[in-house]
Amino acid sequence: MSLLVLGINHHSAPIAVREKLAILERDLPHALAALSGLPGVREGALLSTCNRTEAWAVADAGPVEDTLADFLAGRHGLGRHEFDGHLYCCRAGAAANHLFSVASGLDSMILGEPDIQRQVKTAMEAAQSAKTLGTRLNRLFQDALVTGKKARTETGIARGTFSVGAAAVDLATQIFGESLTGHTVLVLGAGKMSEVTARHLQSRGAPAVLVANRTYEKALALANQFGGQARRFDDLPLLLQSADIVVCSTAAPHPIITRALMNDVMRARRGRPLYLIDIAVPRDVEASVDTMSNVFLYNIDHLQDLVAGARQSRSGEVARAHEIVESSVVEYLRWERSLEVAPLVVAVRQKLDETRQAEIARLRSRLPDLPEKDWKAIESAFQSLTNKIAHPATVAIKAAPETDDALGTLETIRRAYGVENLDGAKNWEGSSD
Amino acid sequence: MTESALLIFAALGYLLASVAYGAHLFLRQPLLAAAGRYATLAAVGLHTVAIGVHCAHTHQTPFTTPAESLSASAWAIALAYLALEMFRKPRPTALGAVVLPAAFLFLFAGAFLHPAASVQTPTLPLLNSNLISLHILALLFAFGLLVLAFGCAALYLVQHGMLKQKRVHGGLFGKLPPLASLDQLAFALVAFAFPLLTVGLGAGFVKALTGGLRGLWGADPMVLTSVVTWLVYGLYLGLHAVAHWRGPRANYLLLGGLLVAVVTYFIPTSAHRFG
Repeated sequence: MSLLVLGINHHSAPIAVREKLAILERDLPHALAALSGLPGVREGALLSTCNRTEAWAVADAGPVEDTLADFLAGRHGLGRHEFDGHLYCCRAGAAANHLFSVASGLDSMILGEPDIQRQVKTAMEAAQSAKTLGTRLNRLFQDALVTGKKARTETGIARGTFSVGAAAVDLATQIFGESLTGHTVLVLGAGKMSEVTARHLQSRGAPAVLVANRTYEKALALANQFGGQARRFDDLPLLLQSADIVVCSTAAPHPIITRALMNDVMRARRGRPLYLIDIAVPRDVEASVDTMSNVFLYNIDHLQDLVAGARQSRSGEVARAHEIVESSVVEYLRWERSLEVAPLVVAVRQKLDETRQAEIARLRSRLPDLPEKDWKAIESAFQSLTNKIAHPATVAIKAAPETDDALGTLETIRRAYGVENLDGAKNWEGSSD
Repeated sequence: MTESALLIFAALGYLLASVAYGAHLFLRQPLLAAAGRYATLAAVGLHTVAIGVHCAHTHQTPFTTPAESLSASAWAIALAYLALEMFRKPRPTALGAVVLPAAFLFLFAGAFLHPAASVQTPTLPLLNSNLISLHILALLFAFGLLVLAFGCAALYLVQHGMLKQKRVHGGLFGKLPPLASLDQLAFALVAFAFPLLTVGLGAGFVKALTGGLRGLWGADPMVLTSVVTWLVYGLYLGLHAVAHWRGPRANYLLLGGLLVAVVTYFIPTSAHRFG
């Protein structure tokens, strides 16, 4: 039996192809039942997000790829030619590496994004509910979730910023704290970037977003888009006193927030810090405002610089995350190999127990008058002896997969203990990683 | 184990904790923070035993000589930090990288820079007093908290500097607590320390006035710097709460306050000498 995955993702297929193969969450139970009913498929799971659809299986040896591809096509009444060139397939260690990388966000459109962790968990739980997740896939998905968490915690792949809006929020959290609860946001002007930035700030807990524009109706329209409140532009001095984060994006040809205005504002604010995000070109805020105490002024260049730096520093973090993935793959494969030799361990133990019981029975028939408490001592001694004889064999069997001649080692042990041929020991193929 | 060996191991524990917290600041590995925490715990435990052994051996409190005071101060700093780690969430591990080195330095200074001062001399009978015990203990714990406040102020100024100067790549950027948290924590620490400082100094003054030592204390440098320390922190609390002082100037005041407090330790004194 081997592990494999077949699917498409945002690297291999455009959205027009991906959307044809996507499986909705409500259709998963039916799809999983169909997957596990395929010939040769012993375990199955499906991972379907906006960026990928993957069929996971533990299957008998043989060309199961075609079976899975036909399954994916058949679900949506498609012909194989519509997506064959976009499919990828991985087996064994490469498949494990793929899932662990996916769960870590290394294969995502936005590096390190956390949503995929939840989506992998959903896929696992759906397969558990549908009872299509067996021992191998269950362990694989569990390990993927652990690896994903470890990669995000121990490296910086999930940290840093990849957009101007996210960079602005990152800086806000460094001034005011992780949650922006209790800090009012003021948006001056209109425009897509200021709207996106305001949304980012709202997502971090900023409770109130005020929007001011020279044209009140425009302020109202923008405010309504994300549940904010419109304000008159003439109230700018008062607005600057109450807001802690100001996103400036007007079309004014000259600065609207001057040093003189800010002197009065900061006096009224009594030292409370003020964060100005000036994404307008030409700038809305006089450069000299930056030197004021308790004022933090970042313009579009600063924010883009932050984004560029974050992208650069992530490459080292990506390498570290891949190391974590590779380490997890090695552990998974080691576990999988031990699973395959487990039947021989059980058989050797069983053989020794049968021999022990037969010898005790023979001894009993020859010494019928021995007191029962003496038999207890004899049985205990035989048990101890059996354990001591079994132990080196158990250790050798478990270590065999790591050796060069694993098959030969297992065969020798099997013959030495007089165990009959078993599927697990005979068919052990070794790692195909 | 002898008192010296216990102190050496305690100092090594503070040093190890400093390294672990410092490494965690840059590398963000949870295991490093845990190592720092356990090293601090072990060091404080050993230090406590060392102080106990000292008291059992000398039959007097461990604050009569400069060496003893420095050692006790190191203990108070580490203990205050441990308490903060236990009760504050998220854990202020960045602060550990600042204050544990201070604990190590104080213990080092006490153990190695004043070896002659560790020789015990009999304490004056007038020091066998509850007021003196209150004076010493209150000031000791106040000092521990003020060192933590100093740590917060130092981190605030570093974070503030990075944000103001747009030093947004590498180094400590993104790794320090937010300005608001540091400001809030510093204020809370001083708010706890100031009453202890007041009680400690007050107990000392009452004892000085009622213990037959009138006339020796008025112009003593140590007394004067103690009062200045009290005034600086009182000013900080007042300006922060009433005049809403925030930002670098409030934190510079905290740095200055601890500087005066440390000067108090080492300033030559004639009246405040008992060992």
